[in-house]
Amino acid sequence: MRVKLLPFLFLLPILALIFSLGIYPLFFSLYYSFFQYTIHDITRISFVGVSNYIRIPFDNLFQNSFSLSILYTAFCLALEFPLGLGFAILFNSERKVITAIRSIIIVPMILTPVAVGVIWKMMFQSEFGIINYIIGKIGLPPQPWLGDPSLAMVAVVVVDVWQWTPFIFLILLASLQGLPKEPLEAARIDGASSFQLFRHIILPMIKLPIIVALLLRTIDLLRIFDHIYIVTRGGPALATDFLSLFIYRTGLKFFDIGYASALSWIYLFILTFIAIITFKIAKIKI
Amino acid sequence: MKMKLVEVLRTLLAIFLLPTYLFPIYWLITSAFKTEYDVVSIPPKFIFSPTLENFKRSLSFGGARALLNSVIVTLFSVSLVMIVSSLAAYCFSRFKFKGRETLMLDILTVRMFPPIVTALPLYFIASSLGLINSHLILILVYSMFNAPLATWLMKSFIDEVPLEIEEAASIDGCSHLERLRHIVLPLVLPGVIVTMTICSIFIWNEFLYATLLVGGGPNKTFPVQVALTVKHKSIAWGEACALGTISILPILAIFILVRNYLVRGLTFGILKA
Repeated sequence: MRVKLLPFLFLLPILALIFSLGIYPLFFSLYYSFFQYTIHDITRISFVGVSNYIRIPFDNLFQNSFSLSILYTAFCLALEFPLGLGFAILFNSERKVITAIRSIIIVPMILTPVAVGVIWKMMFQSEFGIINYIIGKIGLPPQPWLGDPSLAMVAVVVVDVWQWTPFIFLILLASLQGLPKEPLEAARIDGASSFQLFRHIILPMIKLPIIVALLLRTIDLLRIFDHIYIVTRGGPALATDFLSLFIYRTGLKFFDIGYASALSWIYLFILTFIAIITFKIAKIKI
Repeated sequence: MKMKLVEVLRTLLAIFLLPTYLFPIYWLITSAFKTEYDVVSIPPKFIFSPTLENFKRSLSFGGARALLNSVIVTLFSVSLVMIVSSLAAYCFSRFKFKGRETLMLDILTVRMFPPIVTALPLYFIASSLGLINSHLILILVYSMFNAPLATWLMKSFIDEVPLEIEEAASIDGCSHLERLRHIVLPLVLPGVIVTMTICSIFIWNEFLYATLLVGGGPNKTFPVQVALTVKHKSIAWGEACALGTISILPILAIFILVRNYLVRGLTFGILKA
């Protein structure tokens, strides 16, 4: 009996934390998602069944946020993946210079996102920003980066690519370095070209890390908040109003708590689905 | 011949990449030392006479207090994370019980939650408990969010400690808790440091919960202070850069000290797959 109880005692603190601050709030919001509950009329909480959920697909603002989030994720991955893979292949070497570069380009990943936001917001300023200065040197006219809807999207994609390409790079590099040497040498002796080697031997072997890296990035991109909040704050004209920002606004600016809770659950559902796929594919061994 | 081409390409790319990666950071730090006039000069000024004015001003307007708040919150959260996760990691590493692997995965799922989903209900729960604007609520929430990853990291380090060393101690009548404290933890000290470092960075950087649960009041954390400077239409860029610089300095210092360990911690789990 004592032996059975002991593991539980060691786990008690972490489980207490997770239940009280993770699981309980989730059920709290599940409960409120079935109510009409706004700050304007805080005394009246009325049960509305699933109507908060039914409202979601017809809400123009949600449609806007949802498609923007998908678009943003697609743009970022389309740039980060080829770049990350390319860097991993090129920098897969033990030369001193290369190892130095390798460790330097991971710095953006650990920088305070808010500070990263400040850096880029300043560089993207249309009047004195250094980016307009540089493109001016090439002979292009200055652009209103943060004032134009599509340019603002470009700007926030650039920030993410700068900060997170190293993540994909790091994972793919580690998996390239973990590859067994024999099959590669055997293929080379058999006269395979570098491209053939990559396409038919290396790529299949690093397929799994690639998928996992992409899925982890997808989860992160779908819940992006910090640097967007600083650089564009969802604007201009809601052009970068991604899901997290939209829910934030619904819940804490307009205090439409019932609806924000319903949105949260749908959002959580989508992300959990992706997370489960990630775990299934990764088959993480304990 | 072919190898030569790869070398050239590599060098070219490296030459291109380094400025791309370092310039934004350089620009932030140098701008922090410019006068408000120089920061917004057209064309941008690369040579200027440095001033500490931005640091003085931004720290006196609530910045110093926010810095202290962040230090307090980070220290307490990391301590709590380490206590909670060492216990859990020891349990997962040493005891065999039904549902162990499922439980470990379930715990990690917490990390995948989008923060905004729990942040909203937490706001209402915390305000009904009177914990809004307190350090305590942030410390608890940060511990909850970082404990899963810390547990996984710590477990991987504890797994490497041979059981025989511990068994010798158990003959001497040590309880599991004493073994963890006096034998296992000292042996995995490098692992403890890596885990603490990674969690500290996450906690130091956190913004969403900080702005929501504590906001811009006297207890605000440093990232919130940074965000406040760029909130309005007319931005004091010099001050914003000074605050941004202060917030990334500890991270750059950590990076220089323990970068190799950091890489291990950050790619953890993915490599296991």
